[in-house]
Amino acid sequence: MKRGGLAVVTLLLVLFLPIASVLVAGCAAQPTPTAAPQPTAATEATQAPEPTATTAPEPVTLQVWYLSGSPEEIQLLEGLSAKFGEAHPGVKVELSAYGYDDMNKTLKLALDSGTGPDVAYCSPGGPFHLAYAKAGHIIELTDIMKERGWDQKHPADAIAYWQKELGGPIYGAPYDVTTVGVYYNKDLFSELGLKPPETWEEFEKLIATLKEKGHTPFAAGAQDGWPFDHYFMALVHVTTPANKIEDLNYVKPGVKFTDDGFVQAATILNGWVQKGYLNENFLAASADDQAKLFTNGQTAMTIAGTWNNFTFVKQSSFKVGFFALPRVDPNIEWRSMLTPNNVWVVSKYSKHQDLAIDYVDYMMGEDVAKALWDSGDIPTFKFATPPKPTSDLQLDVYQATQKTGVGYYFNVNMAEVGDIEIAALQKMAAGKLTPQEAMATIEEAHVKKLAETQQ
Amino acid sequence: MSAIVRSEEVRARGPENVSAYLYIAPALALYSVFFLWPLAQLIYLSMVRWDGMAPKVFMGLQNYRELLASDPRFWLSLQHNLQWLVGAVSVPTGIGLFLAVFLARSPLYGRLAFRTIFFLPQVLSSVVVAIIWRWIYSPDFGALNAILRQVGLASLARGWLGEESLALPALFIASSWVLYGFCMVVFLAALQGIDEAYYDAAKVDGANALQQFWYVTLPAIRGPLSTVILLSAIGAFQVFDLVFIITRGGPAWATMVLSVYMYDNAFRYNKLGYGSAVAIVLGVLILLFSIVFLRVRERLEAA
Repeated sequence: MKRGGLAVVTLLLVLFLPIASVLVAGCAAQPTPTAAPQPTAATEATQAPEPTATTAPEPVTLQVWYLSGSPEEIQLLEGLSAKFGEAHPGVKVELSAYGYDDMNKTLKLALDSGTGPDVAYCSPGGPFHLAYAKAGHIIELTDIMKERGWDQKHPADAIAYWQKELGGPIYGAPYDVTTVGVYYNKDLFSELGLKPPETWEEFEKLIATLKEKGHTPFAAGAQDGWPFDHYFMALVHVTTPANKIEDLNYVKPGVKFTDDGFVQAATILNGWVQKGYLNENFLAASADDQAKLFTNGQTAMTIAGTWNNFTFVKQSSFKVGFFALPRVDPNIEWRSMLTPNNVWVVSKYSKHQDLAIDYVDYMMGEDVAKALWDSGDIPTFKFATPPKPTSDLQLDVYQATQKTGVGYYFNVNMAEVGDIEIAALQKMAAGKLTPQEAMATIEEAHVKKLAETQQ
Repeated sequence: MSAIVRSEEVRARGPENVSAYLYIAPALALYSVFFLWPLAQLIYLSMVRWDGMAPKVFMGLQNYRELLASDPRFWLSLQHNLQWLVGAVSVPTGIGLFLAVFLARSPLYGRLAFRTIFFLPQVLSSVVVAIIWRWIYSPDFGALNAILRQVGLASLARGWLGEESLALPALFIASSWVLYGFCMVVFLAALQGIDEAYYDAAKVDGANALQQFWYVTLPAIRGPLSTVILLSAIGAFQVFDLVFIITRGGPAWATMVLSVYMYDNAFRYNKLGYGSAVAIVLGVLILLFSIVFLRVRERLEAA
């Protein structure tokens, strides 16, 4: 071979090495979880009472992967897992925490290679736990649910929520709910003589009043994309009939982003931007900036998810309240982005399936539900007597969840459409697209996705 | 005659030839397992439709046709990579060269300390760099806008990562901050190999500092300079960490680059086949650029 040709071949191999190794090694990589933090004294105080004890015949490590970005929540789970281990002599629970993207990528790769954890608390729905179920990676829990009484202890529609796509079999068990609504500065509202609105007209008047009095109504972090998308999706839930949102979520034909409700939601959001109701540089603000702007008192409100409860209570120097977004159209059913959160699944490849099921059963029990409640979360568990709220914020969130019906993160089954949605909303907010043009852009991608699902 | 002699020599070696291949066999085996085989898998993956779970569906070149003929985001990402390339081969290279010449040829005290300081960003993990610069650019809590407001330049404070026209340059500045130290170190090593006699001769001929740089320094470091340019260019095609952590390709695709687009398709959209096709196209682009660059360099050197 000539010297020049050998050089070319060598260069070819050297240059392809990083790309090939990253992509293909990523498809076959063993997961490397991050270790969860050790429980602190605060966690010790909120840990649940002893679970039912059984004895394992030999030392066993139960691998549990938990999806959460909240240090407080992770510490709570570490404490609960330690209690489970103490009640099962010879059993050690190794809890590993993952962020949203990391969990979705790593768990899929691990299960696909027949490895991974015994139990995972993972993202629910079509691209996630239902995809694992279709591929045969996780066990069906329908009979286990009935044997262990989960369908009695938790609302049936909460457990069935993520299962509709498969028409019934239960593969994942949720144990708490989240919603997206309006966090507000209670102290500021009291000072200005304002109260949470009951109607959309009251809400618009409240926002205008805040602006007139020199306060920035909303904190938003559009640079990260999804926080701003939550503003849009929350508005869609109060402008659009519930059946349309549900059909969109399950990628069914018949609903379009150019329908009235979606355009109206985009128009409202764009109007807020034009009137200066959002923080000055919201397009460049991250999700963390959004949270800080609110907890620092630099804005009066923020539309965000209730997974922020832990953070907002700890970091605010004022009383934090919460209310559900009022309906724009009073004739539609009142919905919010109220959803069962993530789901517990048991791996088919677990060598300790009985123990794994015991662990999930423990997590679905009243003691853990009480611990979740005490930490400020909203469990799905049906308490015979509702526990006393640990904070006014928790009471506000609980009441909001009782007022509205369930909703959907309607682009979760269409990640690519979701990205295009975010880009279109960012362009709209920057004044480069009208609300109608933004919705048309998203609909174009939506049509393509519908065509792909029908292939 | 020489070819005949050479082939006779080769035949005469006989068993030595075999032993030579045996020596490289283990390394070649490892290379095949960890590179050639994954590469073959990647090429195959680029020709299927696969979500990572369901059975693969062979599509031939359909992914490539869709990518090259009807995917505006691919071309937008490539455009950003090319813009990054133009910047990468000029800005950190230029800054590194200037600092190297300055530190090598000026009578500055504490040159070693300055070399260390300038090189420090190189030793930081790219994730740490991304997190630092994400904070610096934060419009309400970041250092950049805070400093501008403090010195009376509040009118210049911006949403750096939120404006489509500013986001890519902002990321590039973060990248240059890391890279210029590496360029400086390479050039410093090269400058140490230049005989001082050349500069003396140039001074005798009346050359000023700029002329000495142009006629003595640059020709002497041509090799390392072209290597740095090539590596910077390859880095510009492969840029991932900073974009992924700071902007994820936003706002509105304004900072999307091919490596992040490949990641999104493969791991977020569950289109591993399509993502693999992006990877192959990216690799081919890097290869073509490198071949052309090396050929041009060879011709310039021959001339």
